Amino acid sequence: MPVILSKRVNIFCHKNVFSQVLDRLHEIGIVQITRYTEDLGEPDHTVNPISKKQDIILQQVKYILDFMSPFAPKEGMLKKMMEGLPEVSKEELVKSLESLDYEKIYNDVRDLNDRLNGIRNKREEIEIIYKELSLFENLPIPCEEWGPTEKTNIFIGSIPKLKWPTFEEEVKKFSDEIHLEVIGEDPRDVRFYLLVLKEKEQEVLSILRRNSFSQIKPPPNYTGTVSDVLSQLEKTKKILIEEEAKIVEEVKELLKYKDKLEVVYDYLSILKDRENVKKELYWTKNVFLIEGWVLESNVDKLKKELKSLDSKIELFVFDPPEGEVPPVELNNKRYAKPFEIITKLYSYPNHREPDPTPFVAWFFFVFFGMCLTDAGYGIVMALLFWWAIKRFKVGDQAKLFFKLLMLGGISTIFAGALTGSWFGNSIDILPQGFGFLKTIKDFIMITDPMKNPIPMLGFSLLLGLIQIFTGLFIEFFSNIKAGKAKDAWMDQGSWIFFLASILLLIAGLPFGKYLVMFGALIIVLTQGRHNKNIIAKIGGGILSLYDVVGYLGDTLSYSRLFALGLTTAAIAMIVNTIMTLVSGAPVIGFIIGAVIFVGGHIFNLLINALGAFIHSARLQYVEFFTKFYEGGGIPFMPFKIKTQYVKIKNP
Amino acid sequence: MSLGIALALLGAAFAIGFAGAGSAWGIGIAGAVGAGVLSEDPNKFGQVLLLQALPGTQGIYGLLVGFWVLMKIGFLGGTPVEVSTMQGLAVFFASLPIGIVGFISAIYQGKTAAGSIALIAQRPGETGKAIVLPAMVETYAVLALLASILLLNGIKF
Repeated sequence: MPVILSKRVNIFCHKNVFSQVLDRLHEIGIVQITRYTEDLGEPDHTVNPISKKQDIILQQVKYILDFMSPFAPKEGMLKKMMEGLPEVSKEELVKSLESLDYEKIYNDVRDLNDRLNGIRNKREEIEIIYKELSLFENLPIPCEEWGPTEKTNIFIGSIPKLKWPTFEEEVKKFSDEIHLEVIGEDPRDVRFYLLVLKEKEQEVLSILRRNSFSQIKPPPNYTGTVSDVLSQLEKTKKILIEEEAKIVEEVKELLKYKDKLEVVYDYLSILKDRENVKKELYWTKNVFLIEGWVLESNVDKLKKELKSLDSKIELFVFDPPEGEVPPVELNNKRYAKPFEIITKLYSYPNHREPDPTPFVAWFFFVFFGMCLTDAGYGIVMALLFWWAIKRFKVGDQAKLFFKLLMLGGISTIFAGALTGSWFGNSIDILPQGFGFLKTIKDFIMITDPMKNPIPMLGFSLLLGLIQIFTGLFIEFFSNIKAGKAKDAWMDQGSWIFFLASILLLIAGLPFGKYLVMFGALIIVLTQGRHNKNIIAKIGGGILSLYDVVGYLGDTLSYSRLFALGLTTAAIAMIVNTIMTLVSGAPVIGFIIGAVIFVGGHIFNLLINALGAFIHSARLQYVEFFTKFYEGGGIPFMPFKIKTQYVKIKNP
Repeated sequence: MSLGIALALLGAAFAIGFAGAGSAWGIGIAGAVGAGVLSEDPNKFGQVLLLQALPGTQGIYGLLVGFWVLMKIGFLGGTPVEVSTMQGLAVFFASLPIGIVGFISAIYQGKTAAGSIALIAQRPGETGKAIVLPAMVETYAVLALLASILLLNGIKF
């Protein structure tokens, strides 16, 4: 499927209609606006169309919303997705700014924020003091007396328990000049107070310091004994908590404006985008020039839209000049659309090559199912994502992703049913009376990889060969199309022949040996042709025979399809086995068994669905794309309306 | 219990233990880098989780081979079979590839995944390439898994 290329577009309009034109372009969202061509010089300085008016309001509204968000009631993810964004008409959007006194709300919020921060800081301060003081609760000396007197000084604090014995030893010699009293201890520290005569203060202090003394300061603005202070602190804390609760109530009162503010926010960001894009434009005193890209498929629509606005708008659409790379957009049929995600994850196709998505779609579909290989899981996935597509109001990209996973689920149902895996071996362990299910299961099943792995392994490798050959053929035909028939035959044709002859030899074709020899000869003769002299040519050719190892590795790489599928089935079987063992226990055995069954299978589904996705994608990227795909395309990113909180109703 | 059974169990334990330990190691390496990236930009959680999970498959492969062994000797439902010492030893040897390769490849895949996480931190648009690089390392774990399965499948009781 070819990609949609974009064309260069230049739109000239008079300043009277300019803002209308820009608004319309923003609304229809089909033009990617680019910076004006340098050759034109600078836009006219005397005209300044860029307004900054909305920037300040936008910042204020953002400030309010950020402040409010922790106080708003939390909405569940599921509920949010099911309800989707609220819809707002264009008129409501424009009016939203007038209907709200955002400046008053902003000032209120600033005020509330300041008060709240003040209270929180104070509370933190009190917590710290409280924590420190509470260790000295039984200190008999009132706080206001924690200082020097005429003849004595006092030290209150703690020393690490390890140092305590040395400290006691060292101060012994001052036993007449000091009074030392321990008031508490814990495994780490010993807390005490120490009265000392002033003449010995310095000596005692140096002993204290040597022993890692940490002193506590009297709490500022408090009097009374420590336990008095503690109860005062407690009281203050209570008051602060009450005040904080009051402020929170006030904030909650303001929450009623949240919905309106969100509309304002989105409206202002749309306006801001519109102003920002003007920086890319060129203008003279009277005329504006909008340069950009438009997809080929949208050229007519763009012309019609602009002509209906004003007949004097000039529009030039032309092919990009040499050296400019046009952005591309993928364009697939409905069935392949979800698989664009896989292609985009690797790289957009460049503007010279076709989009590989239709091939990727089929291969990814089959591979995903083979990696998961459990009909039960497939049903769960398919139903879950079918429901999600029906019920969730999410963006188009998310819907496509859901669709991709739903298709993966469907593929998994097939793969699982054909290999007889339904939540592992759960059908086999059902009680008697359900035997008919087993009959049905066995009837659909064509191979059991648990008993005989070889057929599934062979099938995985066969799929690999099909994909590798597909890749070679794609490159072969695109070379032919590009007029490089020689390269097509020599680079792809030779390998296709050589690899096919090897396969025929393995399959037991009687004269296969000669075909392989002939193929190898072709490889040796063609692959070194870019080298200069004859020896290098042949040497290069012989060396490139080694690439056959690469093809072998590529093919074997597909064995992961089988291995991952088997992993899912095997772990599912382990879950079932554990469940059977547990549910034998009386009374609660059934409940535990059910929990293990549900939890175990959810875990297995999650981990293996992730693996299936990654490995199916990897096979596309490493084994398939390397054969033909260049990538490196630039995605088309139109200038269009983006909103965060609301969805704009289509008129 | 015969020595053969014990050797077969050693094989199962070797496959599950070493491949699992390697995965834990690799996921740990990738996760440490991932957490750093998330501290800058929590919105990348999906991509980082995806990359961090990549070295996890070795553990699953090991589990699979271990399980296969247990199934073969009738430890998981079914009747236990007679396993001679030589057969047990053969089962042990068959478990070696996924144990050894799983252990080492998971660690290196973890390192590559860590690098890839750093890559998407700088260039969020390159997730596809970031996934491919660690998946290259995994190829050898898959081949080892394949070898173990084919070897096991070849042992007849």
